[in-house]
Amino acid sequence: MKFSIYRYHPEHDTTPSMQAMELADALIKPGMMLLDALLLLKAQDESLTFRRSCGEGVCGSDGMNINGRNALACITPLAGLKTPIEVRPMPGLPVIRDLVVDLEPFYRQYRAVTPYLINHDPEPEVERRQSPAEREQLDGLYECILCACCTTSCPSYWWNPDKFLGPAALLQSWRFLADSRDQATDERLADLDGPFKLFRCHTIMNCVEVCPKGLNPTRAIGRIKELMLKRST
Amino acid sequence: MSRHTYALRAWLIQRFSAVYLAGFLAYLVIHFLIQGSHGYAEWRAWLSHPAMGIAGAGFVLALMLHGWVGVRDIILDYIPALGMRLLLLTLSGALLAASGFWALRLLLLAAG
Repeated sequence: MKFSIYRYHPEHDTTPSMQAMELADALIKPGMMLLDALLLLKAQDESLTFRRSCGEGVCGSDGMNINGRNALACITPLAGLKTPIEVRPMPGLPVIRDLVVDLEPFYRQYRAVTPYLINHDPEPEVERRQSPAEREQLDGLYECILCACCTTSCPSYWWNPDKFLGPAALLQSWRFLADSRDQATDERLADLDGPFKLFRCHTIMNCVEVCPKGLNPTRAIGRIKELMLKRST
Repeated sequence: MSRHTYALRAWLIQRFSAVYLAGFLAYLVIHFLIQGSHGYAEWRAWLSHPAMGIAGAGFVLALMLHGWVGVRDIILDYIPALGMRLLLLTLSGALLAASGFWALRLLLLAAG
């Protein structure tokens, strides 16, 4: 099986390049994921660098661009991928080395939405309770694993990475706006004001297309706009 | 509208103007399918009707506003340099406003 892998080592290379690599067919097992193949390729050339951890689509470490589409290598089956399989780092973020990108700009936007519960009431002796209906509002939001597949596939984020918060951060913004226990709705909405942070989303929906957890940041962004409208009238 | 209005306003204008434009264009298609092609006299008579004048002016206004939000979005997306962005926003705003006033003037002339 043939691969074309993005290689860039800033200490040696002036420009990135695509390296052709190959795995013997005997090494390819049924049901094998791309991450397994990358590990075999790394055994051939140990300088090949990529992030990985759980290998089960839970940690979100191995987000990469596979044949032009962002995905997690550990849950992307080799079967069905067009060869040579082209593997690149996720677009829109600085490359540290090979398939490893600097996620700091992504985390900066995530931190900007204060992704934690803000509640000024005295801390209760037991947990802050929700009704089942209130808890249900968080379904499809809390499952985000921050793999950055969505944000780095968003053209609006590519054009304004320092100003547009991006789909992952906005999904988390709605996650706390939708939380019945949170008391900072006005502050959160005020923080999202301006033409860039929220309103650069043009409903392109690449984020929905690539989310490995099947989440829908576009819908969350729409809900934020609806809430803004309700609170401003 | 009291809070969170700055960015929301453009988004709302774009949506409301789109609804008006879609409705007006649907009316135009139906009108021309039923009435067939117009000669000069029919055009003048049609455009000089007060209801048509108001609806037409609404169309021009909606088109200007919708166009402005769209062009503004494109400039904000693709032009990072602040000076160039301001220049292009000013030029496109002036062009849109001039086109809109020219179209409104034509409607007024048609209304006689």
